Amino acid sequence: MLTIGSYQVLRLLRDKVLLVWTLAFPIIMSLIFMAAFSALDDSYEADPIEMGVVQDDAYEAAEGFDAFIAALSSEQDGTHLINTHRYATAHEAETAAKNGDTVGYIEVEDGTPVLRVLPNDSAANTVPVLRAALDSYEQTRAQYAALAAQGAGPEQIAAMQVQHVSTQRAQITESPSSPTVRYYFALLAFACGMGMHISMLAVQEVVAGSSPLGARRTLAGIPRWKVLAGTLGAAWLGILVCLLAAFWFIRLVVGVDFGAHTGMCHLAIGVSSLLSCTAGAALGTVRGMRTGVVSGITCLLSLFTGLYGTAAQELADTVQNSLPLLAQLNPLWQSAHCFFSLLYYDSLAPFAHSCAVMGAMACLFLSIALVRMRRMSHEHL
Amino acid sequence: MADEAVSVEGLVKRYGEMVAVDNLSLRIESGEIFGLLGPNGSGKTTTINCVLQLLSYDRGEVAVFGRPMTATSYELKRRIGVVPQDVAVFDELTVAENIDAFCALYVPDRRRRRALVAEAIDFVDLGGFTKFRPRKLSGGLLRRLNIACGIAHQPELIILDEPTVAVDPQSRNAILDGIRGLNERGATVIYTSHYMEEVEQLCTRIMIMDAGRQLAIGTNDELKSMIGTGERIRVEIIGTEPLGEDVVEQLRRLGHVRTVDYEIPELHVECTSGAHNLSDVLGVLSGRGVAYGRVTSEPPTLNDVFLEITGRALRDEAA
Ligand SMILES: Nc1ncnc2c1ncn2[C@@H]1O[C@H](COP(=O)(O)OP(=O)(O)O)[C@@H](O)[C@H]1O
Ligand SMILES: [Mg+2]
Repeated sequence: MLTIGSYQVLRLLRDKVLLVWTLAFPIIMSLIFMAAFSALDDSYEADPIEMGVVQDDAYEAAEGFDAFIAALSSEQDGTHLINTHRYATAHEAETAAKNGDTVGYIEVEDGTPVLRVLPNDSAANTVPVLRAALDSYEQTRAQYAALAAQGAGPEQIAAMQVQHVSTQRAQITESPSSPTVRYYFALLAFACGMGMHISMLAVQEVVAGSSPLGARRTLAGIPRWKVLAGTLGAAWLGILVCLLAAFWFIRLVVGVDFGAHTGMCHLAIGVSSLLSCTAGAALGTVRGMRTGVVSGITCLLSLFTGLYGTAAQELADTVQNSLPLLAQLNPLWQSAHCFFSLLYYDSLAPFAHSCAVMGAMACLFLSIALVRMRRMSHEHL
Repeated sequence: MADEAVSVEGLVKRYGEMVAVDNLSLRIESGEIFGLLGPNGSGKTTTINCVLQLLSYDRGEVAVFGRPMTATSYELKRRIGVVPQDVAVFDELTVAENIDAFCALYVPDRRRRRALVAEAIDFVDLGGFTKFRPRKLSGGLLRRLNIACGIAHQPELIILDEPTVAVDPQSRNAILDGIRGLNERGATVIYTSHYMEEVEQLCTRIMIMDAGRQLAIGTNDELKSMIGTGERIRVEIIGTEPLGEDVVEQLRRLGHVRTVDYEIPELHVECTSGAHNLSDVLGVLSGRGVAYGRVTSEPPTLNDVFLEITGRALRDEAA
């Protein structure tokens, strides 16, 4: 069994075409992504924007708001969102914005800060963050007042406030990853799909009805399950290594941060490769299956993981929202989702759920493959 | 019966409507080189695959070494070596690795295998090519590798399915010699081919099949004595005058002579079995004062056997 497995691995290492598809192709694609996103990534940083502040009575009345604004405009790392321009009235602030001196202004109405911005591309990235900061101020104002009453200095409180916003924002993505990470998840799932080639070919070469090699190996003098275990085990190992290589390439060379659960990512890769191996094995029992068809299936399923850009992501999201079951039936979606859940949730429960679903799928595919193989071994050649 | 290598009883295999093997029965003794002779499509490979349980069949019983053969008879399978009709080797592995990989399907022990692989390489004379990939081998060498992969585990029963298709004459002779060698070492051999000459040279017993049916079975001599055709005599007439019609007529009247053809300058006489055909024919020519040059006499070949049997079969069908 070990001999069978090791020869299978050796053959895989020497099969250059297969290696290009399963190993080199995802890595090349990650490089293409890296090139495409390097420009995009910069724009995700919230650059300080020119912002008017209406410094009227309401402003003065808002507890700690002045300190809050000061914190937002301080040069301190990470919280420098705005360069403040102060105006006495809303009218003046509006005029300044229209003149292009600022991109908008902040005004306090009934004790609530309101952000008024003109449509302007250059501020597009910072405005949402600023809005979140203001919302947060609003939400915790009461708490804030209490703190102030306890004698905390306004500067101190404001700094806390901004800190809070930053953490909140970070929590959405768990770590300061860029939204492009989603592409790399889809890419890993894609690599997973390409891995199906390996097990598909392995199965075709071991089933009597599929190839002369299969016929020959069916005549083995050792129990059949050993031949199958050796062959499929090697195929799984091959897929696993390809996926790990793609993962570490993306992690180290492309420099994508997979968040706090990088270790768990390996588990996700393990389960994904198992799913890929069994799905490929099931495909291998389909009469006349060719590598082109497997590539086609992978490319099609990858569409629903959002691999091909924003339009594909929107399509994926639409399917996911309106037909969640259909989306979840897609093994590649499951694989991408598994990585996703590691990065986007604090709790490991969604990840565990995802792994369980993939495990179940793998069992299903394996059963199909085994039943079909058994049948084909005794069918017509 | 311990010395019965293979027995097939009433084997029927259909592909849909088409009957590929039609009620075939067959016994092969240990130590034989058994030839399965028939034109392409006559059902040789199908028969072999049914025996090996690679194919399901509609009816019949197959036993190997006296025990019923099933898909999980691993003990029996270990004693069988198969050289399939289509070359089936791993393109990514070298010659030596290929042989070892297939040997490993029968012999788990690595150390024992090393000796077996070395022996197999020697046997097919691929010593100079052990590090070659199959793609780099010529057709003849590739066939030899295919054989080595099937016999490395030194099986007692070796089944070769058309091992010499598309092989140059030199390699072919090497292969045939090798098969004789295997047989001398004690292996029973089943050899399928559509080349009559090969089977005739090699096999101790032969079954002729066509359209899935057994037409004749026996030793080379038995098969030849089954048919009407005996020896074929050719005489080169070197006289100044062509042979007269009366001489030809006299030859035709000889006992055991079936046909006489005369195409200047050669005389063809086809005889049925008989001891003194050649001297009878030459006696007639000498008696008439005909001068003749080169004389050849050929015994019947399996070709004649096959032509005669299938010819009759064809006529039966037409009737
Ligand atoms: N998978 C198949 N499906 C249908 N017919 C087949 C199949 N395999 C072989 N045959 C038919 O069975 C007959 C016997 O084939 P085969 O055993 O390969 O002949 P041989 O080995 O003597 O050349 C042929 O007529 C062939 O067309
Ligand atoms: Mg054949």
